[in-house]
Amino acid sequence: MKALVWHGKEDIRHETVPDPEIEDDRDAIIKVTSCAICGSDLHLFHNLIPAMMPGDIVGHEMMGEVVEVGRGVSKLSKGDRIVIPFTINCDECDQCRRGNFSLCERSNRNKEMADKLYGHAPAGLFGYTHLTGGYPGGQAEYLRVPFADGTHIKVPDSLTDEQVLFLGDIFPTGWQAAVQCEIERSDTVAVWGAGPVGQMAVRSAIILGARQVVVIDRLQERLSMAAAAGAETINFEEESVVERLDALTGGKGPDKCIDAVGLEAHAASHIDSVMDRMKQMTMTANDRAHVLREMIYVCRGGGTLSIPGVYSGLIDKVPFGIAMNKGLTFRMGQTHVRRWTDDLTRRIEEGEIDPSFVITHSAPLEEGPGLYRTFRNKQDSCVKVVLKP
Amino acid sequence: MNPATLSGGRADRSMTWGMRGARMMGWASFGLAAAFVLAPERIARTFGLEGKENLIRAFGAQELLAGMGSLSVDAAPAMWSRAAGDVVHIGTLATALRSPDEGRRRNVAIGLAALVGFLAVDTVIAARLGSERSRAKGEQRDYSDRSGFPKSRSPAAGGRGGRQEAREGEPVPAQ
Repeated sequence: MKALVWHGKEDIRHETVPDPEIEDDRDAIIKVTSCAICGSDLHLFHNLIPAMMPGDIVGHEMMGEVVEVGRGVSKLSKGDRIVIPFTINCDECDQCRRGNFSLCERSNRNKEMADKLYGHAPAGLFGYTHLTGGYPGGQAEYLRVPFADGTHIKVPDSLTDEQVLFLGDIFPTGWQAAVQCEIERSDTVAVWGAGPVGQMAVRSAIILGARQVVVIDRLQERLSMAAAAGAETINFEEESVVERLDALTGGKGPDKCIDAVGLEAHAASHIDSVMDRMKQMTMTANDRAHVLREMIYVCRGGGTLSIPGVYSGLIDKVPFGIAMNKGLTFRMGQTHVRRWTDDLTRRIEEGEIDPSFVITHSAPLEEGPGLYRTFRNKQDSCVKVVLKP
Repeated sequence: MNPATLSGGRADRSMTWGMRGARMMGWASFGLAAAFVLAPERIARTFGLEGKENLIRAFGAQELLAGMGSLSVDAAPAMWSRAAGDVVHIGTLATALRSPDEGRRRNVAIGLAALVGFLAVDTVIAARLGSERSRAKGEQRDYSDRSGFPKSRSPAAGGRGGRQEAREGEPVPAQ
């Protein structure tokens, strides 16, 4: 089959690889009908997430049709149309039973290695680092789905691929970020980053009843997309984020802050961003944490910081004293995708939201390597890429 | 090619020749850095730069940083810094052209030719990387028709009529 294969920093190739096979009774194989390039795929593209191996198939936002099931699979049949959550879930362990699907205790097949690094291993993930199992990803024609009974979202035939594909990652990720804020009707929610997850977080915060949603970015096309939903916008290259947020909140600061940027904050004129960028270039640091620092500074006392953005390692110069003295609450984590998807599927069906608004580029899988570059370079007003194997 | 890969074409790769060139020059920088740091006396003797051993060591440190930058995701500024370093190296080496030793003058000429070559390559790669990463000015699309809300909603964020809307002072229940 054809797949997008990671070979190193900035080196993704469209190659022919062996077809996946049933390896365990609980596996299923799907024929991928749509997949997407996620912002966190760019962290892999930049080799900022440790323990990738040349030859790894990338991609963790995908859906398709079941073409084969193992003998132990009871909830799926050939022909079922499913979205695959990026977290692999056994559905049996204590964390899965608690709904903490991104912390499944059984699906990470490199658990021992991850335990040593993280203390306790997170779940297995598709198309990601070997610290999360090193499972082949879904930017491919076919995908093996381990623990298939727990690792799927059945979707109605009445909805298109474009409407439901993002149930596997960015929609529930933006939703969880907003839910973690415990939004009240008087709240101002500030969202850093108007990329795909930021766009979903903006709309989720609006649906959840925020009084005011503010989005911070530097790319006009992305700000225009956030404004379309009703968000106030701040272009951080044109105005002071701190001053504008103060102005929008009567000097109080936003009640809730969402970091939809993560470890690759843009190195603009802020001295900490420049320093972070230099440390990355000289391989002395992994994460550029400007957004985190700025959120801690501007957030209203007693507020909440929700962090769906990915961080990978040790973060330098985090003003934790400010966070402590302001009594801030931190909520974060990989998304417990299936905790939210029944509700979100229903919202899509009822026409409350249509996540396909975020798609700006759709192309055959073979164009994936070039579109990684386009997406990374923010060229051609690219916000979200969908690939068709 | 990875053993798991059955076939793949260069045309299907994300790496451009600008990126590959930066990698190549980055590794070349490491080689030069090692020579400058580990054998400055020998280099000084070869080119008639006796007394400038510490400067050669400093060039080694600069090459090391340029090499790390060239191998990073932000290779363009590192390639420009490499080009600037080439100019400084050329200026330094040119001072040795006055050497009375013909053999050394020949070495300097060869060294200068190599440095000019490096400068040309570094400049071309840096410019190429810049153009590969640049966004076309003034061509940003307007996505203000993409609300994502198929049903019409009021213009303000609050009170949008979402089923999940919270009541005053009451947190939205977790799902």
